[in-house]
Amino acid sequence: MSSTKAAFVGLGNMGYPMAGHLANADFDVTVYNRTAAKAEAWVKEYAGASAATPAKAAAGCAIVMTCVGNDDDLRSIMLGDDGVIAGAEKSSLIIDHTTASAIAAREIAEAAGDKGVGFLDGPVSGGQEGAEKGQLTVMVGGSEDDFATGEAAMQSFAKAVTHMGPVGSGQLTKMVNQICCASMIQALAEGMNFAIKAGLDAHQVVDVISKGAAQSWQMENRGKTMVDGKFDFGFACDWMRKDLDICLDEARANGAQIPLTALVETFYARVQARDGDRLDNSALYKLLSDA
Amino acid sequence: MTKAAFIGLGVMGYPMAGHLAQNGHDVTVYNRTAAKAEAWVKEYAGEHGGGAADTPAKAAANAGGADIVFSCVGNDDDLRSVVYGDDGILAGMKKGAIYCDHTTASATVAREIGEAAAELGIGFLDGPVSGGQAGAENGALTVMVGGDEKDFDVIKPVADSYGKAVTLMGPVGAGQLTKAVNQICIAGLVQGLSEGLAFADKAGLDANKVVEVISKGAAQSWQMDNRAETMINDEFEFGFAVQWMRKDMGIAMAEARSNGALLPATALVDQLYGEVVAMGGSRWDTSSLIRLLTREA
Repeated sequence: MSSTKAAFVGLGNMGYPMAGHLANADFDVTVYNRTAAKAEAWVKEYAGASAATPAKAAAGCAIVMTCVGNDDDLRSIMLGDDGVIAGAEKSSLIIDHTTASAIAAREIAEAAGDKGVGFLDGPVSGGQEGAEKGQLTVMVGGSEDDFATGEAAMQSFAKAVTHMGPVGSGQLTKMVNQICCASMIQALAEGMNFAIKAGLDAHQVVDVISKGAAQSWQMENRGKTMVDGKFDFGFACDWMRKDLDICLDEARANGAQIPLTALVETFYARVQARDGDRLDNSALYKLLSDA
Repeated sequence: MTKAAFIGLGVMGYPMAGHLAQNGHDVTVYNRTAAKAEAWVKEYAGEHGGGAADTPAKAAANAGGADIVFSCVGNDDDLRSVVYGDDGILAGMKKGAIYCDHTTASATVAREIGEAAAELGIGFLDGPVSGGQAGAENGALTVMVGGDEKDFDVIKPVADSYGKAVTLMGPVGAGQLTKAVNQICIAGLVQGLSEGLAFADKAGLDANKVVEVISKGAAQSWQMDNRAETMINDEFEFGFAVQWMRKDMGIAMAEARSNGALLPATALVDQLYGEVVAMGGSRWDTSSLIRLLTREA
């Protein structure tokens, strides 16, 4: 049986290892990346092929996966003469793993549909580490048929691939994830800073209270690092802020009230202005500890 | 066997005192409403003793004086009323005994009682608990203790009767401060969870399915694991009441004003809890914050 032809567009921190897992799972992968050097490095590492444009990468493929930065990046690789949709075969399937807006997902699904091409939005969680280990969580929006077609390819880099509903549902699920995270990280930062100001041993406090109702993934994985001032790792503040801005836009449209999320978004803006974009999203702590 | 007194038989104190008796300690109880003390004696009195006294002082002084006195009441004012005065705990305690308070109260009142106890040669520990009524009944509380290590070493094996983790956090007041950190972390987290679930509903998603997926990653929390489903089902007649949460947050914010810690999200959520109270929800579980987002505008 010959392997399925697939393309992967966007070889960033996430896309590079994801495309690697896809190739290791015996897909015949052609990659495209805006900075060609990364595509060359990938081809060298995984013995696939690279193409000069997204359209050329997509040509002849049954499945085209994408993972880029934001809505604008997504439109630029999908639309236009050099875009994925222009090159995609009829009846092929595009799966986008960018964390983007539900609006962009629906818009691109429509443009793909006009050409007889299927579309799934499949934002991921689990971070760079999850991507490298093939342990991502993929939240998928699209039709049942398209999901069935794309599931095996997504499984190559995921521990959980779940169909959440029609196109856009993957993005909306990711938004719920980020809304829950933002307030939780702020609350954790306030708690840890209070512990320090109160003269407590914050590490010991984390050990004690993480056994009960205050427990969270963030407390277990970021409580001690924030107190220790370690922020040069993890999920960058500018990505978190981008994701929260998407949430705020969507909430304005669907009528959901997210007051604390809105407040925390302004704190991320201050972290960006003061300390730059690249710190882990737990750097909310710095606004309190440096005050 | 330790000769002990337990002051305050509310939803927490009643089962906590019961675990002490069941672990073979001789416990004399006091409760403001005497009927509860009588019920407790009926349930737990046995071969090791177990009786009720009609003042905190008498409970502490019973049969030559308790070695350890425990208390668990409502707030700072309740605490002062059972501690001080001729009928109060300190008046009845013998020199060299240890008093351990399990009320969630301010670090300020803890330090104040610590000083008053020290003048009488009595050791004092503040030991607020977490784990709720279920934790008290199952003997699985987390106890966060402030005070001297030598006093802590004496009470720990006894408090283990109802604690699964009894930890010394620092000097007197450190237990209350640790509990404050716990409540600060919970407040913003529960609001975030509320906003996420209400958003999921407005977005037309299956909220239970969303929780199933995102609870495996960075958005996971005890609250998500234990409250998301009941929040989606609009069930709040259980758990930890909003009025108690507000009391605890008031303590945390007062302490923050004096130690300089900024609590912007906590302060906002405290205001939101005020709205829940205005809706008639002072006895609803803390997860009822979501009702502000799901009510008809």
